[in-house]
Amino acid sequence: MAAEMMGTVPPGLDAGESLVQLRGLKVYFPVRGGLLGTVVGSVKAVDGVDLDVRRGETLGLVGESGCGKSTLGRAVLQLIKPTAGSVFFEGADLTKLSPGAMRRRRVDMQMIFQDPFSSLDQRFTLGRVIQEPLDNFGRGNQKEKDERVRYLLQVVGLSPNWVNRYPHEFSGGQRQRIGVARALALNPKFIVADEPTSALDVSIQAQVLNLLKDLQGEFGLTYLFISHNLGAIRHLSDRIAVMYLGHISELGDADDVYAHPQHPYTIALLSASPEPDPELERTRKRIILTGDVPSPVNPPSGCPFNPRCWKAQAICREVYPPLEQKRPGHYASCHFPGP
Amino acid sequence: MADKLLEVQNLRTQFFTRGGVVKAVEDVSFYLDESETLGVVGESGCGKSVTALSVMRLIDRPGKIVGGRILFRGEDVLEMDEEELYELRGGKIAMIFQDPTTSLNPVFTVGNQISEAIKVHLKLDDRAARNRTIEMMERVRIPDARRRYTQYPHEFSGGMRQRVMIAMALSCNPQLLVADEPTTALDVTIQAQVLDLMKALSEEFKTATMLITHDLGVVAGMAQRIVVMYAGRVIEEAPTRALFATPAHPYTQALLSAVPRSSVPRGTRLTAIPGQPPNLVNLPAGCSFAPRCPKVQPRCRVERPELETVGPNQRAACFYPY
Repeated sequence: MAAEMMGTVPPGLDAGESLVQLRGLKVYFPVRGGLLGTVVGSVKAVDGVDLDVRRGETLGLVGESGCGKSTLGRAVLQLIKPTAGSVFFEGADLTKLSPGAMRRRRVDMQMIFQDPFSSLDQRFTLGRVIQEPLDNFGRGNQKEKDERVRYLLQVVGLSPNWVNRYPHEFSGGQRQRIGVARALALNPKFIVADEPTSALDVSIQAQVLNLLKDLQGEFGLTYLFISHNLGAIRHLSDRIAVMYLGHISELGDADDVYAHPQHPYTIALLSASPEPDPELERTRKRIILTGDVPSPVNPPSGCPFNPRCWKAQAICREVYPPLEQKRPGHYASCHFPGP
Repeated sequence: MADKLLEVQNLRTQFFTRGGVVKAVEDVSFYLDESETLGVVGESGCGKSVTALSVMRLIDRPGKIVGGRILFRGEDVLEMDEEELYELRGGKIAMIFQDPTTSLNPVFTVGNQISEAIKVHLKLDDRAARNRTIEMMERVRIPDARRRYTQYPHEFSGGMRQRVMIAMALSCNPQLLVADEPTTALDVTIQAQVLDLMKALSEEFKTATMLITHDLGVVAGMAQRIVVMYAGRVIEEAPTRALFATPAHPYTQALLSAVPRSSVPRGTRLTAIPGQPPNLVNLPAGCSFAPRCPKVQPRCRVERPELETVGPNQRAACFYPY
């Protein structure tokens, strides 16, 4: 099976160093309409994604609302059942595991959400919130669990004396730390962080980004970091994948993607992102895209970006450009890449 | 000396809650010149939105403006009666908010809502108001404006709805546009479109803009001057270039270095500001930033620094600036 799958591995990606491998991943949501609620179409949230997350790296997944990045993150953790394709975790296809085997696998993979408040049970004390994963998987006796909780609180920079407080007593940044402590409880290998700092103020965002960075080194974590914030993505990621309308449009080392973006969408995205530098803002040439992102129910034929692309030619409307290497370790899905 | 377009003097707005008196805006003073764009920046709860709402006198119970003066072309907004306020809001001063969905009525067509404001403030008849509406929709680059006039808000995307709000705001030729986080809910490529449009229109209409945002990148490209707020007070005021090049207040400095940006090499630690903003019910004595300030001295904890001139057109509320 593994050998067969190797055939579809994108060039340049060595399966050996990958913790997570997505192959032909598709997630479609049915659209119902009419009196009988029959399926009249589907939202192609993730439409054929091949992607590897290497052991110990942070892969940043960036894109605008509705591009499918959160759906992708959830499908990786099997929180949403993929419509087609495979998710390999340490070589095992999660989509084919029995519910029991999947549950045992969950220990290794966790998620951090955007809104820490809605992901915490308001009636649970801080101690119980963090202890819950340990309870679920029967880890240790009460004394060991108490110790683990206090240790985790220390690790994320909260006082161990706060175990009896409730989530509403904490600020946004502190709640996100609680979310991180809970995610770490079972010693996972892989964490999907979905917009973990988007609800936070700048000064608090910096605290949480630093914390995530520190923990990665300390616990040998692998991150899939999902965000629309180009600054935060660049800061934390080793490699970056840019997503547009359910497809990966660009993938490469973070510095190379920012310095030499290949896909016109990435070029436009980077040029649209405001920088806290008046000189730069005054002199930079901004590419203003026309129009909105098309509906994922009825995506354009060929390249999904072609209706908004200033480089689009006839071929872009007809043929989907495969993700190909354009620079060393740097892939783009475009017929006319580069500046 | 000619009157400023807007001059806010020692504004104080408080909320009387069960938990105590929240001093949301304390002793805030700033001004706006004709056709100038002023950025008001700060983090959640710093009082920037309450300041904007106070300028329009849109503070409801349990909130109350308890002190200060708000002079619009020399006339005190706080002294105006209902009729004068009616003329002012939406006429001389227009406002756009972060979430256009909640500011538009879902059961009326977009055209209907824009022309309503035009009829009231410009005293035009139905036909003229309709023409003016379509013209404004075209000015904010809504494609196919004539057809979209009859559509409802839900038929518009987020970026298009914000264009509708801008069309509505500018339709009565306001002298001041108060924009509270106008692009925060939008995607970055759509944000670029809307900011580009706001810039072009404010130049064309000679409208002054009070741009409230938490995003230092947005004000860097839009504002001529910037006011930085912290815990209900103005802690620094400077021309945009000076603020970014030589921030005087330690909070401004910390804020600037906390933003991940492209000139900082990847992987370097961000300079986070320790702790969190103070509780506005129970503010610390002395400087509100003292508990989080890296340069704090004993004096900062007992005495409150006033906003004082520290450079050309630059003022900061700090005993130890730069």
